[in-house]
Amino acid sequence: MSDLLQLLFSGLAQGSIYGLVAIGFVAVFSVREIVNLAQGEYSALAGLSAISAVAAGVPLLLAILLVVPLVIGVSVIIERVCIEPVRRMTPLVSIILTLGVSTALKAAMLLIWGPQARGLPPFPGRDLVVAGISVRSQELWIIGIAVLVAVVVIWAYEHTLLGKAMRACAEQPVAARLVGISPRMATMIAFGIAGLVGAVAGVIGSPIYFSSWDYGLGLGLKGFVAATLGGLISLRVALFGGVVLGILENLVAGYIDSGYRDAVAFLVLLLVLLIRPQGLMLKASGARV
Amino acid sequence: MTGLQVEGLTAAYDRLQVLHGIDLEVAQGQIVAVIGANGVGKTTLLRSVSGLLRPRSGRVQLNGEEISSASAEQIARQGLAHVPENRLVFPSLSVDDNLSLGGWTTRKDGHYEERRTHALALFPRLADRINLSAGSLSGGEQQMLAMARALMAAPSVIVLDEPSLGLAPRLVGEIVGTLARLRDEQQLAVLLVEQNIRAAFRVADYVLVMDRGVVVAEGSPAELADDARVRAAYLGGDSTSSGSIVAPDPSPTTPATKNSQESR
Ligand SMILES: Nc1ncnc2c1ncn2[C@@H]1O[C@H](COP(=O)(O)OP(=O)(O)OP(=O)(O)O)[C@@H](O)[C@H]1O
Ligand SMILES: [Mg+2]
Repeated sequence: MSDLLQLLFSGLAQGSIYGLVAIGFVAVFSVREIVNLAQGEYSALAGLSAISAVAAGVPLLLAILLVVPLVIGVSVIIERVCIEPVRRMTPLVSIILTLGVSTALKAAMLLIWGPQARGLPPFPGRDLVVAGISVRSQELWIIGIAVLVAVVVIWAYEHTLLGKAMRACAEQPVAARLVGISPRMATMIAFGIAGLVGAVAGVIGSPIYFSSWDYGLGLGLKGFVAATLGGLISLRVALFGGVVLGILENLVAGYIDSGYRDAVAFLVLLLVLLIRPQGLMLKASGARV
Repeated sequence: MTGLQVEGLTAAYDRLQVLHGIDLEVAQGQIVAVIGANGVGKTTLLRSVSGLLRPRSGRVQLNGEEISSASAEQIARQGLAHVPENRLVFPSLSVDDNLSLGGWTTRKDGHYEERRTHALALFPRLADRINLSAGSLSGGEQQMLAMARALMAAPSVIVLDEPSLGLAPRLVGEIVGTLARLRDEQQLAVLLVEQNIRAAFRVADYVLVMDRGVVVAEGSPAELADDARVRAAYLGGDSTSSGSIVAPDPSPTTPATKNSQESR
């Protein structure tokens, strides 16, 4: 019983990171059907940059507060340089373009930080044992911050005029332009949100999952799979999907074999493809973001 | 210079040219209707005016400013509202949210509440459904919402693409009546694309007949209905039915029609 609880709890922490990354995929895809394969790299970049800042003597909190806007900026620049100039964007074109961006980012990170994985120092707090399960304080930080950021983003999409404008772009792009909402602005904001959630996921996870130049590959894949559960257009389902995926992974690793952990995401992807004949991506029109 | 002026407008989809030089003018406080069969380019005309499609050549002026190379978002900001074919409301958003997005370009001018009140007074049915999602509305209600959403931007020119499509006659009357009110009370310039000739003739001050990308006839509703050739070719059939379209006192003057079948 306490085994199960332990696995559920660790899965929840890991899954809330996947959920954040999944929100990044959905934010970008829902506005312009762009699959941003560089999403995972944002987290690696954030983690590694924060580690360097801390190593240079910057206090942890300040390092995080610096790194998040930095990665948001990187994401927005990627959009301006690689996405905005393309006249006829399709999901396939976006995949090819962002695969290139992702490869370039990974190469740059490998050059700057080398191949070894490193971790940020854990956030303040003491580990506990509650009802027989060990609760690492970092895991509490992860769950708390991830859920807070995710809820704020989702709330903004549902309750602010700008968020509604983003949803309008997603579900009825022509009408959105006719009321004066610029799709270029919306795309840029979506990339900003993708940078935000990616960066947050990267820094909060770094103390226990570590950061490395290729960390974004696996994380990106898992975030993407979580996002496909909601057809890449539902923020809520993306968050939920991430949590479910994290828990499933931990259950499989705990009860079957930890070697199968990474296979879970592929299995889920396969199931989505089998169950939903429309494929991984839904048209945003008429659906809820 | 106010209102909308279009001169020599041509437009194409890739290599298919659809508009071959359209001239038209809509003054403030005037309703101009464009009628024509399926596929003649009516929607393309409105898309080229509102910036959804960049014209090949020609001029489009909105309140004296050239807009033919502006983006749709820019043109919306300059005061032209386009109520598109098939309404295109934002389905998952509530009626209220659709209205607030309609006011996107004017969100900082401080008159939001006034305009919302006014839009809901024009379409009281929307007020009763203010918190429902737009996708759950009936076709007629969605049409009203699309119009109300367009009005939230406080436009000086409004273009509408077949607002009567698929609506019961009573609702068509309601919508057409609202257009007349907007013209008379707010001096709006209205460009109305319609296949419902009866409705168009009832409300329009001036009518253009389009065929395959050109204007083949134009004039006041009375003039056009009086023209046997136009009536036979475009207004559909015998004199009794088309005669009832227009006001009871058709003027005896010669209709100002022109035939410009040759394309440019
Ligand atoms: N996006 C497009 N791409 C290519 N061709 C198009 C496109 N939209 C319209 N067309 C073509 O342009 C021509 C004019 O179409 P348009 O929609 O303007 O006609 P319409 O007068 O509005 O017709 P309807 O009364 O059926 O709405 C048609 O032959 C149509 O096939
Ligand atoms: Mg049409």
